Amino acid sequence: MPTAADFRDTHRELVLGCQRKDRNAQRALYGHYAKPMYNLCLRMLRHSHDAEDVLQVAFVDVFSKIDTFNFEASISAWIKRIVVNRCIDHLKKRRLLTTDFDPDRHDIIADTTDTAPAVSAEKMSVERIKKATLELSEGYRVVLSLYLFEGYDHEEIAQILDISVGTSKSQYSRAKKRLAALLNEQK
Amino acid sequence: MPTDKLEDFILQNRETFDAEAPAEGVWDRIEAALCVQEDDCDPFESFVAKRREDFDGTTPPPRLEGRIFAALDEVETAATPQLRTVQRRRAWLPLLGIAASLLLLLATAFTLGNSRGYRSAEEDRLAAEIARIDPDFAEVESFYRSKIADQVTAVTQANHDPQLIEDLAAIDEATEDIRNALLEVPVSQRADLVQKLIGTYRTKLDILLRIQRQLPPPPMEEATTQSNNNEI
Repeated sequence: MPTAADFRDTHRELVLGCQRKDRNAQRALYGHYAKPMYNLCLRMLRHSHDAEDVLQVAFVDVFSKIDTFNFEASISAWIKRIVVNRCIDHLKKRRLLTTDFDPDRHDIIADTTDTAPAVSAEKMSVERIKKATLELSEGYRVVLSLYLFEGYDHEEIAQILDISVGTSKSQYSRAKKRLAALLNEQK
Repeated sequence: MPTDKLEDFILQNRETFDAEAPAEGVWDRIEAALCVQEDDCDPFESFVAKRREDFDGTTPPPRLEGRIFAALDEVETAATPQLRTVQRRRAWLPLLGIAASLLLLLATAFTLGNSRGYRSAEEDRLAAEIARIDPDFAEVESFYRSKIADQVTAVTQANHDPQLIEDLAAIDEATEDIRNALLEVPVSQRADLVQKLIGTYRTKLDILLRIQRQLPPPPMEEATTQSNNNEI
């Protein structure tokens, strides 16, 4: 079974090549992470042109800042965090996140214990969930994506989005309920 | 001793003894048992966790890679300090060496099985063929050709070294030859040839950008005027 050190050292040679600004290493690293990071951007930003723009900015950032990567974390987590941050920047620039995370608009603690309506097995498919996710509001979609698809916990999401842990939990709970409703509405 | 040999054999082949994989349904049974114990299982979360990779099925368009590395080149060009004139000429030598190697590589690849010819009427056929193979290829190709044209203009305007101009023209010519050969190779090999063509564009763009980094800064007087114009 791979150890934590193994994960940290994944693509070590490629990263060292990128730190030497070796273009082949940069292309190879891009090749490894382009697809999952593009899908992350699509989930967060919804539109392919936004996803492309943000992925471009993020990877330029990755290669410009890779000198500072010191192998304390895994390169995948490091790249993912940069891509997530650029997505958040993009949404904030377009003022799409501010109202969704306004604590005055949400009863932060409420709902977190309520469960989402049940979704029958036949209503659950990758394509259906992808489609329904894109119909969620920005705030719901971002929290749901970060928690469910990217594996961040609520403490990390709170830090990334500069919100409280309670707001993150509340948003996630509401997002799941809304998603379940959307899946049940789908024909 | 036989026992040692047996031990050695087992140790040397240790992983082979763990080659069997559990049946696919085992995890479902474990998960179901955990759900009963913990009473907080979310079928939706379980579904996403189980099919997580399927949610990353969309492939980024090929043009994105070109955009990212062109943007990175621009960032790196802007960040690189200009060298003095004497050092510049020396610094070009390895770059021109790379350019010459590229030229040789392109010429060799070309002479392996293709004949040359410039026919302006074929330009449309070529573009249509590239778009037929994959519309994204056409977009990437167009992107690189436009970028390279800009960079060639920038490099040749700032420097009139006949050797540099001659080398750049030779690279252009060899690339064009490969491009024109696209209609002559068997259809099954054309997608590979387009990939190689795009690879040569990338390399050529890299070389041009690296040469541009060595170009002299604008004259001091002009720079000062520019700076003054920006002051309010």
